[in-house]
Amino acid sequence: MSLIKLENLCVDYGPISAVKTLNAEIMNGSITCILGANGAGKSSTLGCLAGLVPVSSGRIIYDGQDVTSHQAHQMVSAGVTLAPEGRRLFPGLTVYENLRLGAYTGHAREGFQEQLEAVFGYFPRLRERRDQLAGSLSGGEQQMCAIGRALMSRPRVLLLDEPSLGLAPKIIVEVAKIIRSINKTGITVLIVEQNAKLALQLSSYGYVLETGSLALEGPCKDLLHDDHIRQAYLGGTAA
Amino acid sequence: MRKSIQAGVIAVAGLAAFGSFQASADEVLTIGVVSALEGPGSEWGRGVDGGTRIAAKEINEAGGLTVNGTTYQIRVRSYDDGYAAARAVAAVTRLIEQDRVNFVLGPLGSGAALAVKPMYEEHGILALVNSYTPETLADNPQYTYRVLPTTAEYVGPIVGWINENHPDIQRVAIISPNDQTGWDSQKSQVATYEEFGYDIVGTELFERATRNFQPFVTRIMAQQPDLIELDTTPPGTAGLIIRQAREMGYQGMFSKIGGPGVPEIVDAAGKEFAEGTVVYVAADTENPKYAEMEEAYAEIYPPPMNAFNVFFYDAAHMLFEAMQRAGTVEDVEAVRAELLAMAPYEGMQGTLVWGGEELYGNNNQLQTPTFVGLIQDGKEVIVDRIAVE
Amino acid sequence: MLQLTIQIAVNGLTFGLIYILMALGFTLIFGIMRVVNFAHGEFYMVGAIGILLLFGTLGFNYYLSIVFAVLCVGLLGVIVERVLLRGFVGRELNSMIMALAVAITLQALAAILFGPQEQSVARPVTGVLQVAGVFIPRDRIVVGVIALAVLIAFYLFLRYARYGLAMRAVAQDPAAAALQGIRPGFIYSLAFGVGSLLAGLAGALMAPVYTISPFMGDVPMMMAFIVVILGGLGSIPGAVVGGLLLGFVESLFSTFFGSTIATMIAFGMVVLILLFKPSGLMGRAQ
Repeated sequence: MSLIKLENLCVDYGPISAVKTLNAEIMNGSITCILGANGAGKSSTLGCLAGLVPVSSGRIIYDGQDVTSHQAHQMVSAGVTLAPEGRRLFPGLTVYENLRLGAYTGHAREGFQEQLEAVFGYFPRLRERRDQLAGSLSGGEQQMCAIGRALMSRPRVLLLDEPSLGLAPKIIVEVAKIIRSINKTGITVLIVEQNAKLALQLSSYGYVLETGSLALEGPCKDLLHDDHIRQAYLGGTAA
Repeated sequence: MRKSIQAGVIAVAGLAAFGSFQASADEVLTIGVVSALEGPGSEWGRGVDGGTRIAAKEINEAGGLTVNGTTYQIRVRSYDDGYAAARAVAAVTRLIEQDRVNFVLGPLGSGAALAVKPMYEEHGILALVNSYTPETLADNPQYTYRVLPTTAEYVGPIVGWINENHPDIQRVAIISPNDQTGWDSQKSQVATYEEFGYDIVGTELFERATRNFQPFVTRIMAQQPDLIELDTTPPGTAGLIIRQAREMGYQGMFSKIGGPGVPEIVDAAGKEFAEGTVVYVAADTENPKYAEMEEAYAEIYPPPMNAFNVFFYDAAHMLFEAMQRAGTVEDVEAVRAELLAMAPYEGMQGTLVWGGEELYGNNNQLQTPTFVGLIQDGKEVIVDRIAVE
Repeated sequence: MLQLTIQIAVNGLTFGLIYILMALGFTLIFGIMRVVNFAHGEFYMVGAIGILLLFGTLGFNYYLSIVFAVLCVGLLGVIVERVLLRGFVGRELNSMIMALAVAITLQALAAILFGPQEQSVARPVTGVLQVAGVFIPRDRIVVGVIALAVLIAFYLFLRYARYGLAMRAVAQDPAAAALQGIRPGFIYSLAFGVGSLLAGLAGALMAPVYTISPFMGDVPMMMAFIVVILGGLGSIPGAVVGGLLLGFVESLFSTFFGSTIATMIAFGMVVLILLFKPSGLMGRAQ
């Protein structure tokens, strides 16, 4: 069953169109990825879903409802939370305060303690750093904090924008593992990545964007063997 | 445009007030008034117009001003200068060019007075003005006379009174606002207090917007003054200084020889702290004529009447009598000579004489009696009336 | 000498608390909305006028009058933000000019309604506390205690309350804050309301201590400006440090050298800060 449906989604920034008539479906409980080069429109698509970027035309259907004109706070309340590119933590606030802000909306506040324990369960390091300023964390810890903060809102859908960016390979593996276990609890994950290999290994279904348009889509195991993908995104030669 | 409408309205109002008398076949004598009649400064400026009009009305109602066999109805032509030099120049130009007057009362305020003084001198217009700065009477003007006392005139008598009645006072601190008015007045305060042999232990200037005087007061009190002189400090601010000094434990006396405003002082200081402050009183409100004048003023402008009214009332009467004595309303030189010769003159508040030689190098300053006031139980009480020497 | 030193310190502390009260709102509004609120001094004035009306004219209880006047100022702030400033959030020049227009309008309105002259209200607290030769007027103690209590309450609010946390989040990153489900518009109104309320409180507290006039906000506004530049524009701890610093500097220098020199020193510090540490004592480099 599809949880999110994008219908002819277009995003324009003035005269520049970032996303051109994109159609996509995200299955409930899946991990789905969007691949593409820099500027392909991946982040704009996530921005629309998070209610941060206004949709120029087309529709977003979430859980059977039209949420095209929802703003960010409405999307969070509805259960769609974005961990944005570059983490965007509040550097002057502590880890705990960042996590508390993640649970700002009404339904998340009720199960705050429980959810906090769950997040500390995924990321024990955050428990140690609880009262440290977020700005003083290492890159990996910041990413953990960003994902943790997104989880604090008790989302149905977790949107991850470049979670691996700037992280050491060892940390990337760790983060990937956690994303998978988050997904196992029933949270739908939509992930945008330049690290195509990681994304395809994690996800079950993938969309490939090129200069704002959908170039390719399919199950990840197929995409992993696609010649075009291998050449353009995996840096390998044709199999 | 707005100015001329205002002037027109005021002129029409003036005509209406004296309309019944103009119906007669008498000649009309027009004199000019330039002052702040609306907006800022008007609480003072209306006194110039009010005093002049009341004097003119009295004469008109008694049948007119008879000069050398001809009876004139006096018409007062008033222009609003908005307390601004440029508008005062425009108003005087109109009085000279259009209304062809020979005699003007006003303007009020240093800026306006200094701006129009050369015009009076050049065109030979006899002018009775009011302004604070000694510059008004500098360069020996021939046609410009000041009819209100300034600090320089009344500090002496009041300090003399303090000297006589409070012989224990030795050390004096003087507080003035940090601007032209404050600098000028503080200079004459210092000179006068020194003349009477006091130790000036502090001279302080403060920015007009200051409300917090605690450090200021701490500093002054370190000099242990017996008397704090508040000079031309605005009355509300003077009240604050009194209160804050008393709260910091100041036990000495206060005096404020400069400008009126006892109610504001008492409001800001509190009745208890204001008690015993020596103040300059411009007009003798206990004089029965004062109440009559307030009634007459209320017919022209909404109350309260300002003390300036009294000075210009006397000045206008002096001017009219000088015309009668000179037997002319045209010959400015003759009127001027009589105006100077007729003093000492019995004005509403006492004897008026021309003086100022020592300070200004000429006798273009009208000297008036000085009233020494004391704040008692929140009210201004006149404790001494000092005649001009 | 010791006595004088203590007197200067006590004076500095009482001035500093009021400066902090003024500067906190100013810096809060800037930190969150990037609006240089030139009308801040007028909210101070409106707070004082509230006391003139409620306590002075109508004769209500002083403390009740403070609460009511301050809430009204807060509400006025919310209305001004929602109606006049919301459209300019993030556009510093436009919002600054709009705030200036608000300031001039409020000042003129007050002059028309209450007259341009200085007015006084009776003092609810009188008398002087004298400890070891140091004089502290009781009304200043009341002002200091109330200011301190409100400052602590404000600190706790920002530190622990949900909306306080949300304010700090919006100040640091409005977009990321929106992603947590925070409505920035609501936080703008709240911040402007609280900021105005603090200014109104300063005005209401000082109304019986000083005189009341439509132009009384000019000096506190200037002081708030100096404080936030010293402490760092947008920095809450900076407002506290800057406020105390300015209070003590003013007390010290005006006691020894007069108020003109004290003002000069204050602006001298501003110049030095702008030259050598433009982000302020406690500000982060932008």
